[in-house]
Amino acid sequence: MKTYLLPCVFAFIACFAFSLLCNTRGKTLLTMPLGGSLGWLVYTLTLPLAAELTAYFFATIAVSVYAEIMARVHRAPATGFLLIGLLPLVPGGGIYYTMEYCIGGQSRQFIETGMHTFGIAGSLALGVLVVSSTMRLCAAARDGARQHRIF
Amino acid sequence: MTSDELLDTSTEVAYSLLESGAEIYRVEESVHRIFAAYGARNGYVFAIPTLLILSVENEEGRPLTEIRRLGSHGSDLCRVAACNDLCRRICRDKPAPQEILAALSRIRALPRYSLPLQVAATAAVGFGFTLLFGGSLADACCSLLCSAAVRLVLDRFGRLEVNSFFTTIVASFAAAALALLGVQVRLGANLDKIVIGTLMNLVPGVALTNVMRDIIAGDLIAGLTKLVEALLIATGIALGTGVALSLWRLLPGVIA
Repeated sequence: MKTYLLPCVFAFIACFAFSLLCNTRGKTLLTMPLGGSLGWLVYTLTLPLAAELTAYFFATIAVSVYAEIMARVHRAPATGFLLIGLLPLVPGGGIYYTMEYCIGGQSRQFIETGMHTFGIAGSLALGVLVVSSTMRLCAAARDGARQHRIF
Repeated sequence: MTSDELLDTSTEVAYSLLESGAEIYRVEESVHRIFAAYGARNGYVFAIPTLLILSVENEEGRPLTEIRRLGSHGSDLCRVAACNDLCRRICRDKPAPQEILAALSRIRALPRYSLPLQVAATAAVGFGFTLLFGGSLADACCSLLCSAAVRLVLDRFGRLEVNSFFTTIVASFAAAALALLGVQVRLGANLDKIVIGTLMNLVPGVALTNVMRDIIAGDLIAGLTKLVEALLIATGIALGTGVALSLWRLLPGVIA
């Protein structure tokens, strides 16, 4: 309860505030940050089962699917939900620790942490890629080749 | 609608979309749809984050072209959604150009949140992320103050139109310096958690997400531009905090 629910609440607070900064208004102000909580929940749940990068990947998949669903529900662009939902997963800590090792002169940890940070960013990118491409394929199959669904 | 008016209005629509931080394929696709709705011949559009080119054939079969240059711009989800709705309405009802321009100026006049609220929201972002990444409540309160300072720096530099790389460096320097002070006066305990929570305000998450969506859609130039932007922001964060931390470590030597 405490290990799973509380972080989701924190993620919700942070993402809610960030969606304010992106000038979000109306009902989406509640559903957007929920994506952030969902992503973090999936991340913490898969972490004991898989490697860290895999956990990031699955969390991104969950957020992307959530974003596509919410885009249909609210008839709003999916990107907003994706931006806010992925925020907790973006490797801010990685950037910081990489920098810390760098100025500390610890080259080995610096390279290691740097690669790891890139790995996390790559996992996020791959997750977004998989879901977005699948959605495009589905849309193309339904409407014919050229018409993508953007609305 | 004449081809002149069509070109003007669709440029305005595309410009609003791009300026609000919409993905490239959304901008291009919207223009294609508007062109198709009004039956334009040989309508083309090219967009990258800093440039917009639209071209359409006029009644005599000569090409008309309009180019718009864009500066750096943030992301305004409310506006993207509103422009998106407008495009859908244009394609369905085919309104007159004056009507479209009026709707656009209504969208541009949509309010933004006030600066105090933005400062509060930035502070809350830092607060939430510091707690999320395992900081204590005291750390989170310290991050609250650092984040507020970050927003003030961003706002001030944004008004002076300083480039985003330098702005990021200064903002993250301010964040790290204040965090160091906070730890020094025992407001917070974990320096790393405070700084990371605060830096989540600057982290290039928006750019990173857009990179992937652009590249998937086949807009490689736009994707590359944003990838460079994301890398620059990340470097700026590392530089700003790095300078603050290094100076702090030098400080005892200077004083003694």
